Amino acid sequence: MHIPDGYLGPQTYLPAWAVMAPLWSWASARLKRTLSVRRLPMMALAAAFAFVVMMFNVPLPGGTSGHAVGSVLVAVLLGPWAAVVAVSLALAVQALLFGDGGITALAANCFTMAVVMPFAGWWTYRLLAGASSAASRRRYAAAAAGGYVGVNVAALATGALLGIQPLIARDPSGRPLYCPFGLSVAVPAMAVSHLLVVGFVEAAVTALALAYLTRTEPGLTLAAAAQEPTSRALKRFALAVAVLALLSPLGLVLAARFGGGTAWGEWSADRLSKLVGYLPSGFQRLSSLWRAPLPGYGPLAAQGASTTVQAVWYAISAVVGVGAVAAVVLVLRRLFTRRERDDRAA
Amino acid sequence: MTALPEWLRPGARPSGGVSPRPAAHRLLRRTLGAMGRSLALLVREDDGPNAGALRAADPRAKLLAAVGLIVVATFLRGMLPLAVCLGLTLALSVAARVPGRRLLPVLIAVPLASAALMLPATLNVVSGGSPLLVLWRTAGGALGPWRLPEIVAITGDGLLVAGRMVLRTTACAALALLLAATTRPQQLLGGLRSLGVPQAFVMVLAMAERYLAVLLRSAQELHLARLARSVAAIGVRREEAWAAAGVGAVFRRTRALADEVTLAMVSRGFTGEVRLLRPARWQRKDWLLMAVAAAVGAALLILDRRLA
Repeated sequence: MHIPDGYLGPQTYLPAWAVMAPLWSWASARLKRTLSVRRLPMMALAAAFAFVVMMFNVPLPGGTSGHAVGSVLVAVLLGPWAAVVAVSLALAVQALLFGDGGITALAANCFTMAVVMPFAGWWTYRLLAGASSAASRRRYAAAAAGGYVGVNVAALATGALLGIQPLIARDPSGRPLYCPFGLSVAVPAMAVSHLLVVGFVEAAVTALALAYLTRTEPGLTLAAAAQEPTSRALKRFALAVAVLALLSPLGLVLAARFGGGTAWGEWSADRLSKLVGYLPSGFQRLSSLWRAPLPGYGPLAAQGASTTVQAVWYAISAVVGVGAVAAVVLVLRRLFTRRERDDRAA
Repeated sequence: MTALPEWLRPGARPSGGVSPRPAAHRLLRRTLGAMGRSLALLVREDDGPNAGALRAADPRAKLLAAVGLIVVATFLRGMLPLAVCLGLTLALSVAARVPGRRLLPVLIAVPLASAALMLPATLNVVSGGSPLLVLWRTAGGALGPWRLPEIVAITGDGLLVAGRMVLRTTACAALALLLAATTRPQQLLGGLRSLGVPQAFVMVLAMAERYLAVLLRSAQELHLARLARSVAAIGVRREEAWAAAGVGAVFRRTRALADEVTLAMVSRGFTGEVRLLRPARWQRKDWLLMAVAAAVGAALLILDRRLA
């Protein structure tokens, strides 16, 4: 996932530095509050640890092997802000001393592997682990899920960074100047390998290392988790989801602005018959089976309306959708915790 | 006197049910090899009298010059300026006596990996342009809304795009290597102060580099002990559990070391504030290095814009 120099144009890596600089200073200020005198040695050692984790090769079924990034493990053990600093420092050492990952691309690499990855993994872990006890299966499963989600979201971000290069930087004849593969190639290439292979390595290392530490040194691993109550982590997660929901019409607005069409494979029956020239009979029969309450993410009356009205309906649909999913998850969570309580009582 | 049993004789090979399976050890040996190489880079002997002139230059000047030239390389668009940049870097590397065993892997691995990644970009289906060499003629037609291309061919545009990427990644990697190979790790990280990196980060980076060697050695010992004790493969699941336990063991060592280091620092008067030694003054040759790097960077940029 390390992007080397030359793949990202200045239009991408300079904003990445601008985004990372305040994040680094914020992260180190937070650590100063919580760790005080211990901060510097702890961060130095944690950075060295993050580096060494990447050197452990884990075999995979089929004779190949891979290595974990370890950001989620560091986040679970020391907290997400410590992971931001520790993994960034490890990446800086890799780039400067070992030539692994570019120097100009360092901020972009830190953004994906030292910010996106630990936070995505940490939130997943906190949400699923809840208030379960340190040595419970649920906590290990939450760590595995955190590792899997974290590395996949980071891979998606890396694919997106590479995929936007041909859109934003071309020479006068229209040839791409940097990574020539567009989003339709870079994102699937990163996503498939991580969804099918790398994600499981990260999940296994995160969960098994946590299990090993919980068994051999009880009371050590929950130190970071105790710093932040679940409700606060949940609130932040909810805030992030709300921001994303409000940003959801962006795709619609951008498509209208740049003359894009519907997402590939998501055509309505009308659109499909126009594209292909005829409508398969099965498709016709099935398409009338279910009438969505908000077809096309808005009421029928808003179908021909201006982009602004459609965008508002889009955001409302996103909020309704997120609410529905959240309700299902909360019900499942309640069921899970009850079963665990019964297990403990038994 | 009893004769030595067969298996204790010198040169005896284990026989019977278990035999050493090199395949089971390949992964361990590969990991050990990578760790050994990393350690060798970190714990380097002092430079001998043969060390080139670049080694003596101030690390801050070298860092600024190298990072500046890497940034210039990411702005270059033409093949010629990129090739000049790569050529100059290689010439300088040879002049600075960068050892071949460090230079060659970068010169072979980076362009090869980059070229392999860029292979699809040479085709008309990715980069467009007029075909130079037709690889495959299809019947054409359409797959749903997708029009299949009638030919798959290597194009001039594609070759240019791929060539530019290979040249640029190699030039950047060679510049980064020149910097890393002519500067000791501690000095290189210390030089980051000149790029505006805050003191605390520089100090932590320098400490991280020092303890990285300690933790790497722990991990290396774990792997060596495992290699010495294993006679056959143990299966993917147990192998995974072993690696994770290794990571956990290294983390325990990390915690213990952090506590010890903190106590050692506090006992020597550390209160949480960072104080570094006042860095040496820049000398004339350091300014000269900066001026030459700036001139080369500007010349490359001007050449690039002229050719565009």
